[in-house]
Amino acid sequence: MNNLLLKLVFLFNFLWEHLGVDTVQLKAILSTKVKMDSRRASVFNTQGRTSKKALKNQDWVSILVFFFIGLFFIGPLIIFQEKATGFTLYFAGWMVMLAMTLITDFTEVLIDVRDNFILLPKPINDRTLTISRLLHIGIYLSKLVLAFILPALVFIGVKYGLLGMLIFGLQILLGLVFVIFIVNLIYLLILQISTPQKFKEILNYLQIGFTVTIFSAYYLLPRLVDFEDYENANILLSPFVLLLPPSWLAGLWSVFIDGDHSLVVLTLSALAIVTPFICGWLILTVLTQTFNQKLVAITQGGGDTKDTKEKKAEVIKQSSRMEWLANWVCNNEAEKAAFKWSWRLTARNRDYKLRVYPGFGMVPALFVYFALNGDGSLQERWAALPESNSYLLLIYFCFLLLTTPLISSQYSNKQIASWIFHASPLKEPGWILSGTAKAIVTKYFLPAYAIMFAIGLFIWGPMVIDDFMLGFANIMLLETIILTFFHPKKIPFSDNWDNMNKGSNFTAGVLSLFLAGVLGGLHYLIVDQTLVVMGIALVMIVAWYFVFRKYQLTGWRSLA
Amino acid sequence: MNEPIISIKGLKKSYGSNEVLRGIDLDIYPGQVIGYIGPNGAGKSTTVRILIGLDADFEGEVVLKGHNVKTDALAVKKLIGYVPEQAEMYEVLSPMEFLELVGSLHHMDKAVLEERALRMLRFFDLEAQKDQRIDTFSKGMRQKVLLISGLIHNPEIIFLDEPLSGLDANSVIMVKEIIARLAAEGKTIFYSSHMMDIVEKVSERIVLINQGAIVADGSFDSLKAQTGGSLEQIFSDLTRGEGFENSTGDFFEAFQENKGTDE
Repeated sequence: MNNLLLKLVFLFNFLWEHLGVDTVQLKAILSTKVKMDSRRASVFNTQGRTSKKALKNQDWVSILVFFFIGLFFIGPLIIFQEKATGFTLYFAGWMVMLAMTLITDFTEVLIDVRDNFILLPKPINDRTLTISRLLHIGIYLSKLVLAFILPALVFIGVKYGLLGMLIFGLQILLGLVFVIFIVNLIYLLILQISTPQKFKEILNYLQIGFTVTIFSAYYLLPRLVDFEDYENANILLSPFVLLLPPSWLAGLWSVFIDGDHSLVVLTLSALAIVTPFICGWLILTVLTQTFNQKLVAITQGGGDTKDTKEKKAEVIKQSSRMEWLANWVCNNEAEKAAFKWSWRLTARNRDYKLRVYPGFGMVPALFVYFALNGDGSLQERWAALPESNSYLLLIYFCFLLLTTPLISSQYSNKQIASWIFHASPLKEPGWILSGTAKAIVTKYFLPAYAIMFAIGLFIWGPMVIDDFMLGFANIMLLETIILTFFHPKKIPFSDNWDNMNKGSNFTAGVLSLFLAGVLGGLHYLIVDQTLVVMGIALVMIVAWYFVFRKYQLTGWRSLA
Repeated sequence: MNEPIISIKGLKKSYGSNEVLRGIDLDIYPGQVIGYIGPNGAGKSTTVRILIGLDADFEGEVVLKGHNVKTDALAVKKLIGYVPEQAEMYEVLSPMEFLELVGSLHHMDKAVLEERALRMLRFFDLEAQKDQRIDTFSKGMRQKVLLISGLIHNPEIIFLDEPLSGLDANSVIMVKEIIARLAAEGKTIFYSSHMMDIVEKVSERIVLINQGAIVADGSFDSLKAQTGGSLEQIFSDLTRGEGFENSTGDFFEAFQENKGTDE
């Protein structure tokens, strides 16, 4: 597959040469890059990281994932009577998938720091570097695009014949250029408004935002839209249709296959055809030049001194607040040290943030999904909310907010640095574990729980106070029990991310989910009796104290 | 002597308000082995980056074999071999694949490239690992691959930035021999390091920089005649000036104040 695509690229060598590219170098760079991609672990293909030793092609997993999602997206093409609506949905799904893949999965390829050390000292001209980068993206995407569109292509071929397939191919090609442009544009915008040093940080947040958006949209959209008579929905009647790039592409279909020549459809088609050409021109002339210059700057080091000063001030400001918290919640110096250490590491470790932060967006989305799940219109469901006990869901979803950060805190990509604890004259490593747990509870759980509490107060009023108290006690006790007795104990940040997702963590996740359900259920039984709720909360808090004591005294031998 | 192969005139470089190089003037002649030494942060790696055409943002004039690095970086890059300090490699590749990439970028003939890569790997005892991924390698093994990648196209000028980091004693001896042979063949070698004992042995000319300026330039013997003692002694005399003894005193004084609480 890869070789075929590469051969296809090299068929156009005359063209590349015409553009000022050194084709020998182009071939060397491209074939190496493609080879490296197939050995790289991706979002869809995490096993790649663990089986490092084997030289094996692994991109088939990504391709399969894209194929099945593509299969799923034929749905809109079949359901909707107005084909433009179906195609808009199809292309929307496809473009989002592509853009997401480019940003999350391909960022490290697009801005491969090693290029600056390996390729830049070699006699390669700028054009060769630029074209090889663009072609590399093209090759990478084309496989996924082919996998994605294959089901639809077959469907269209059977139903509309050769002409349909040709128009579909045209739509895909135009869409591809558009997506590459958009991603380039996003990167450029980020580079414009921020320093190169912050670039990766911002991309990280962008990835988190993407995950949350996709997840929420997936859960919420079907809930918020009343799908009566949806087969006859017609996107062309919407006033916003001109702003939707997927609709531009869909317009082509209406013109050439459905024979619709209304003004809206013609405008859409014109946009679909003209925009990619403008984009292509912009990419090749203005953007890549700035892009490459900026990319080089990312790794050049040095940088402006102002930025480091700002960072320093930020660090000092964070420190004093954290120092105060540490003094307040920790029992001894070792625990305090671990508290501060974990607080800093969790804030500065990109991988950690990527694992943990999306969860905070998903919980409200999940809540809305479950709380508004039911009959009647959206307004009716919303009006019925204060009558229900849905705030219990708010409380026990917070359980998930705590489990992920706690479990993730065992992992790091600099796991070897934990030698420092093994080399230190520490009697019980339990204090390190408990300090980290306290830092994570204080930093991530408490603020989130406070927000949930505020939401609860706002919708249901003071009657939720006792339940939030019991909920807090329950979550704390349960989490401590899991950490102390069920989850393998490790020095924080002492294991590589590659080892995550193996048995035990999964078990702990499922266990906590199950227990949260049970606890929530039991809580539901007594929810109306305030005194009972308060009494049980008190008992739970006392129990929590004793179990946590045991956790603090974890010895070296009980470490996994 | 003939024309200098590397000529640096009034080289200045700063990051913002931080002046890293404050006017370097240096002529290097073909076949010389230059030991470029200086304390951490003196500007060694910055100089190397500018010399190999990676950074055109500087003041002054730098010419390598008639090619100005500012205007003709591509021609400069064709002449040189570079072993960077930060051992960045495409680690998912095997050594053979990596060397093939590097060779192709220098337009080497494929058969020659393969033959040479194999021989060089064999020399460094890496033949058995030639098809293993680099990410399974130890630091020393990586450094060997990096060294080969800097030399495989038989460059005229070779830049080595801390080339011995992570290598064991035997490999260090081998690299020293390679450097001597390369110099005998008329290659120019720019050796940047802070490991004095090795610089002392491999370089015929030592350039010492401190805070972005050259503070000493000459053969080891001439430097020795100036100040006496080993290169290490010369180095500390020139870069720390007076009070070297005192500053270690400061270090140990740090223990004094809270001696009571130590036990």
